[in-house]
Amino acid sequence: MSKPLVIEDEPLTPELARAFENARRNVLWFDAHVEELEVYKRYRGKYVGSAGGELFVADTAEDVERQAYEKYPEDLPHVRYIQREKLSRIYACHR
Amino acid sequence: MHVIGDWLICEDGVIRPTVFALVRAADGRMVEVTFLLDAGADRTVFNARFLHWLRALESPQGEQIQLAGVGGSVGSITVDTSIGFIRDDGRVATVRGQFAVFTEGESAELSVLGRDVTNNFGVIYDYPNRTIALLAQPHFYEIKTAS
Repeated sequence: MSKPLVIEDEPLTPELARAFENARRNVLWFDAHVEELEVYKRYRGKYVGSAGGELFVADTAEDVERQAYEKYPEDLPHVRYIQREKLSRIYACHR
Repeated sequence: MHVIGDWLICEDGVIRPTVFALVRAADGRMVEVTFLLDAGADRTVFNARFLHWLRALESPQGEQIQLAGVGGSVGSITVDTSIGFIRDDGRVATVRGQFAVFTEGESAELSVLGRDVTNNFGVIYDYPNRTIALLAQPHFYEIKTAS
């Protein structure tokens, strides 16, 4: 049995504010460029990440994050797994 | 409390409802997580990208969450961590507790925000107006009839 969740209201520290702003920028950059870069056509079965206004691609999440953090150490990359096949998703489990 | 979400482009131009957050990893670092807002999901689950960030926070064996989808059970571990959502007033809503992490990469493109978290909020999920919002006091919503 898992423990109940606790929700707390906390102040936004300058460090957290920078982290949110930085991460948000990468999410929005990915959303704005995903079609132009043909991410869902070219990178099926790969992990992709956005940081510093660039797209990174690798076979594993660790590798795509390593590439992004090496180039932009202060950045918080937005990372997704691009499913191998184009399917309608109902979030059934994968077997 | 008002957390604003986004309709983001996902697979092949499909636009899906998402909520942006940061999760605290085992080394104390904050990591970006974009959740798919899923009203049908019982639990919040991180996709397999987060395994290497969160594995060291794994809960004891007796506290593991068991997950199943349409096709049967799915591999996951349970971790203790916190998720921070930025509010429209510049503060942070922090949710602490136990969450699952998929162990297989193909299980999900994005992490899933389930009802364990969203039941604590009023949720607006409005595609025609491209609005996603999580609300708690003092914010609320009201349904009106156009005259």
